[in-house]
Amino acid sequence: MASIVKSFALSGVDAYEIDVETKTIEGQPLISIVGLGDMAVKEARERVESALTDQKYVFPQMKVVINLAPSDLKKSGSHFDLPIALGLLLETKQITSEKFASFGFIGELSLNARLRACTGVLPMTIRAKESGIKNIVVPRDNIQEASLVRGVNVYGFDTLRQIVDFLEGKELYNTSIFDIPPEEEVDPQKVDFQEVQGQEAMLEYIVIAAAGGHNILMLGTPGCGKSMIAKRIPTILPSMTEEEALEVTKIYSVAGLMRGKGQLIKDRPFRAPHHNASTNSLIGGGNNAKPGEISLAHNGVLFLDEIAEFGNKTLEALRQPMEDQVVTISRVRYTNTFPASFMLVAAMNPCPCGYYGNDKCRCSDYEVLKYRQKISGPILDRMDIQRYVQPVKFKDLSEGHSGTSSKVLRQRVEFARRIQQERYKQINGVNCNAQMGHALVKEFCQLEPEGEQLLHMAYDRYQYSARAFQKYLKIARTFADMEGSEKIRKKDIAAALMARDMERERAIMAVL
Amino acid sequence: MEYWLWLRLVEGIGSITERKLLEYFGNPKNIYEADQEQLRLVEGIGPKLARNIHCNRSLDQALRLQENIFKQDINILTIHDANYPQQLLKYPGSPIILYYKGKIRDSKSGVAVVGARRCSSYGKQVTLDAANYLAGHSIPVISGLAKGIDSYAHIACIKANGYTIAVVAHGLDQCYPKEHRELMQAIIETGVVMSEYPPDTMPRQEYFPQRNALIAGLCSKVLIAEAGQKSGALITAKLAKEQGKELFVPPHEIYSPSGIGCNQLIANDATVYLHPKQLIEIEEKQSNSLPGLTGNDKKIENCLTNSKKTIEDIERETGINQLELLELLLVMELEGRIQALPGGRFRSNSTCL
Repeated sequence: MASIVKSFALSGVDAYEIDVETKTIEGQPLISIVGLGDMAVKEARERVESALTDQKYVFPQMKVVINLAPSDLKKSGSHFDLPIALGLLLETKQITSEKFASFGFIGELSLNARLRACTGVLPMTIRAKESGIKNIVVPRDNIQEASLVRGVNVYGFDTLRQIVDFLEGKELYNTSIFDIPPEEEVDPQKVDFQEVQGQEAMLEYIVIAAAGGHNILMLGTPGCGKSMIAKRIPTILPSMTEEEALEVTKIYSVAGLMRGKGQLIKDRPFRAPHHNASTNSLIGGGNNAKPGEISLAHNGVLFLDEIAEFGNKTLEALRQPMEDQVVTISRVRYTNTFPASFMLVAAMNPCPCGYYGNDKCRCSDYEVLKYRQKISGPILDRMDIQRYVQPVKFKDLSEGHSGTSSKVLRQRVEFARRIQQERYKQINGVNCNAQMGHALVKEFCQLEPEGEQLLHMAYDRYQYSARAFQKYLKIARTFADMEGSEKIRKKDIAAALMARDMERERAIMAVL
Repeated sequence: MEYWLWLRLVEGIGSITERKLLEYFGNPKNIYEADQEQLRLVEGIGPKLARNIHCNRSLDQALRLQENIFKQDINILTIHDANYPQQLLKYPGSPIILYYKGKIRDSKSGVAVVGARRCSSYGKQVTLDAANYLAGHSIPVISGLAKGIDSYAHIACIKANGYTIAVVAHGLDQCYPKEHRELMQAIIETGVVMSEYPPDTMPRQEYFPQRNALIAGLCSKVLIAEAGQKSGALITAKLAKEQGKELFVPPHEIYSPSGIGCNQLIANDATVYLHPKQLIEIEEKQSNSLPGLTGNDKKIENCLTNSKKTIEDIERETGINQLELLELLLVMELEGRIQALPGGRFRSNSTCL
């Protein structure tokens, strides 16, 4: 009868259980691994053979068939090394243990039979818990990551020999040896809004964007501080709940971006892909469906610098995930869904030369418009706030009085978020003002007569569309929430009307 | 009509000779039917030219052209038409045929607004303000449909519901530059696009001075909004001056290369342009006193007089919080007291206008 060792495989951000079946058959010495493994899985046989020989185990001189069941799902990764090695030992009776039934195994083997860390440990441990596997053996470097899941006993080892001794009961698992104190996180690059000076009006809109979940587009001359502001946006978003943090950690675990750390990711992610990024790198995909940048920015900020330089197709691909907050990657062989709920922060130059409105700019209005049309209407439409960032004057810098700190700003954001949570408690799929639909805007965005009048004046002057109308009301709603006002006051709607520089500018451009 | 087209198609004779022939024979048909002896009676026509005209008496090409013109929906004005811009008759070089699309109206008081293709925001502002003002006073705005100043002049005029004339250096079935196709269409709807070149004529370098001469002839005054050292607008200026039209030129910074041409014109006795009302005959009485402003809006208005500033600049100068400024600026803009400019800047509307 074939011997069975339990392990896991990844699909999207989730894992599923795998039985590694090993059977030796009389015949030519040969080892074949079946069950749709990729190259990393196929190559396991070389690593396993070397590791077993190194440890003076006997490698069977017979035909060996290893099956990863269920066999019709594609599997990838090097973490099958350990279960395959153990399966071989079990099949050739070089190890006897009762423990195999209640243990899951993950780990890559070195040629010297040491264990190496691997990706996706967190979702696999979560799977173990869900399918009732009480114990899980992982490489020592992955202990922390696996320990994030409560209710599963995690055993971390350095070598294959240790595992064998432990399974045979020759040695007890001594936690104290492996108890690694959590690293005190000292991030030298910790950023704070305090360092941003002389941009009060812009900052106010940043806070609004963070509070109402509005996407934001910053226009500005090269070097005026767009990226600096963008980098600091995660610091004013409310801190993640444990559930959110686990979601993020899971994605990073699958993407293989956890190595060496293995702690829970507590800070909101900030991703800034370069503008030559391919569509798949942005939304996810590839041979075994890796999460893309938008999933890595889940619960955080996706910053697209020079958004006008991004490929058209790439940007358009963002539309659906922005609406649904998940991205579904469909290929012939698989369909994966990754979470992708992010705040989009974009930056671009106002015109081809970058200095529109300055004296040195020689771009004609037609060229400026053409340049801006590189970003399609639907994408621009999803950017609720579009503001100019003005370069900081030397005087502001040299005087050195610092701006408002992220902590203060975050408190304001959290205050407004609480109001919104209360308001949208009963409504499914809406958490913040930016997600309001037509009917909700009508219900929650009542204007005072003064504000109504102002809106009408602006409407006549700039000839806004009905859709833009809704946008302004939503932004005004957030402005009112910031101060805990039930009603939308005149000053709220005024501030909202000033939120879309690009649209206002279109009205004054000398283009037909 | 085919005789008119035929006359234009005969090689070797230009506008001036054509005018002389017309004066002598009365109409092109008579020229067509005249023999060499009769032709030679006209001043400036030698035996060679007379033979040339006489031997070219085939209407085929003219008829083909006429059909083409009809197909393209292009209209023709001959120098004998009542609608032909009368101000052009004074100049011997005026074309005997004008092709046009759109509506012909009296353009005697028209003002030409021309300038550089690659213009600064200053030149652009001058153009927009002037064209807007002219349109508001029902004065036709004449320009050349080129990039930059020309297009701004047309656009500002159309936006202010004015009448604008575009004079181009190619056939009316084309558009140069291509990006102005929509603009050309818009001008045809409310104004007129005219050319002395028949359809299928590509724009060529040597046609542009000729086009500029037509602009100079059509207008009563010329505003050169911005011109560098070798700008084509200087040709228009020279021609207009020769025809005795008044030249208005806004002063430019003396170090700015894009304004050298303008400043040189001023040095050569062009009128310094300070306000669009100079472009209109009737002197207007404008109350210059500012409406009684109090508090912060007055501060803002003062701060924005004669300069454009960002919100950050205004805060620094007035001491009003940026957040309060947002509301004030919006209201003042909607009331038309200040103007939003590209790049997130503002300026006062009561500046000098």
